[in-house]
Amino acid sequence: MALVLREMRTRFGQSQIGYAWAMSEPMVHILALTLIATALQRRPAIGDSTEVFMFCGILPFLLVRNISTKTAVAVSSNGPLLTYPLVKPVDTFLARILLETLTMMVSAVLTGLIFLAIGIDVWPDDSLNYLIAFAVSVLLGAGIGVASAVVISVFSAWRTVLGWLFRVLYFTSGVFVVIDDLPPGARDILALNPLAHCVVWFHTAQFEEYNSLILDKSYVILWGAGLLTFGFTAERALRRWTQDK
Amino acid sequence: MIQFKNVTKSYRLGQHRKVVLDRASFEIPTGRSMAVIGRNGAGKSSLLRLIAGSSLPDSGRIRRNGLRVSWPLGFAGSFHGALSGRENVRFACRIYGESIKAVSEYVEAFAELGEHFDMPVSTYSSGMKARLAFGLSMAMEFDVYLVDEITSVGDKIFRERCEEAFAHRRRIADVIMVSHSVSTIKKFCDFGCVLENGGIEFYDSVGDAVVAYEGKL
Repeated sequence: MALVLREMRTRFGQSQIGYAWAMSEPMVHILALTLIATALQRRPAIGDSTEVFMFCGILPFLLVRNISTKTAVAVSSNGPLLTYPLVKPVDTFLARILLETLTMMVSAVLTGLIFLAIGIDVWPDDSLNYLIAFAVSVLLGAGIGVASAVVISVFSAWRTVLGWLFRVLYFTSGVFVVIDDLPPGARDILALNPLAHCVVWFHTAQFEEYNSLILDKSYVILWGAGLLTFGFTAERALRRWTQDK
Repeated sequence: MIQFKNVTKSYRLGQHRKVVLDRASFEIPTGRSMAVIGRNGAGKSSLLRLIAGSSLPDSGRIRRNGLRVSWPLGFAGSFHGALSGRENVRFACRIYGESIKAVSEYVEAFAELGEHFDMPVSTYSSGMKARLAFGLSMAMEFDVYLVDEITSVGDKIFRERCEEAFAHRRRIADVIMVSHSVSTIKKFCDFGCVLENGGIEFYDSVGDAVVAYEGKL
């Protein structure tokens, strides 16, 4: 808990702008993508609001990306605090997962409220399913984050790779195209990406009329749980070798 | 008492592995303060980290038997650079379950950082960090204080204040101290150990330990 509070002090930088950015990040992405889509005169692939469609895609993407990338570097950014014997690397992982989840929850609710206020109906058709999709995205983000943290402790270059990976995933996770609509060859390749399943899961919860052929819920849960188990197990096994660097 | 059972610890030094302890079993008694002597790189700081629990042995067990042991107070520091001194103190209070108000007031008065107390630790000099670390640990009640060279920093007045606070604490708590300054360890410690080539040897007085160590040089 102390770590969560301590993380809050540095997560957003020293200024109010940090909070403002964290809160408006989804909104900025949605606006940019909506502008592009409107300029291209594209109709939303599902539903009748481009904003809502983009919201559903950008939310799991940012959730998974932020949890992963922040958790992956949790140990190095807490550095000296690990001198306290009570602070273990695993605590820094959990603090970051929790803080990123809360941050995204608050900013998603704020974004939703702004949409409702200006008359865009963002309320999902199946809100329980929407929450489950959120929880599974947290699981996937936590899995990628913890596993990456362990990989980084052995190969520090993974940190850069992870950053690039998410830049690629931005375009290949179905945030602004519906993977179901692609030719079967491309569709099957993109369906290997667990993050794409999170996005599709959000879409199906948002739009009742949308039924996806590719959504495999157990696939993404398996990825998340598998990576998380791998991460925690490897952390335990490598603890003695990595902590004294 | 702190028990080491069959403890092995090594660390990487470039291409080589440096062995600090090689299947060492020993007990560190309570009620007396111990000086740790050894060459640079013999693993004195590693030994303190093992005692604290901030570092795990490669094999073997270390039992602290319920003693409250401080973190190693040293130059490397336990403070987060982006947080102010006050925020770092608050963090330590939260994890150790101490009163934030009481500890902050004590540290503020003891460390005499003035307005720096509310500035990021990354802007501190090493002397200021040492004062903060020392004040913080003195504000908390530990059974064993682990001190890594830190008492030799700061000006004369601050050193005297440390000694005073330390003398007060030492009535109820022990110190395990690493220092290159013979006068410092003679002042604070009752007995000593010499760490060398993976082994550790104990001597009944600091003087004996120093003599033994110098004999090996």
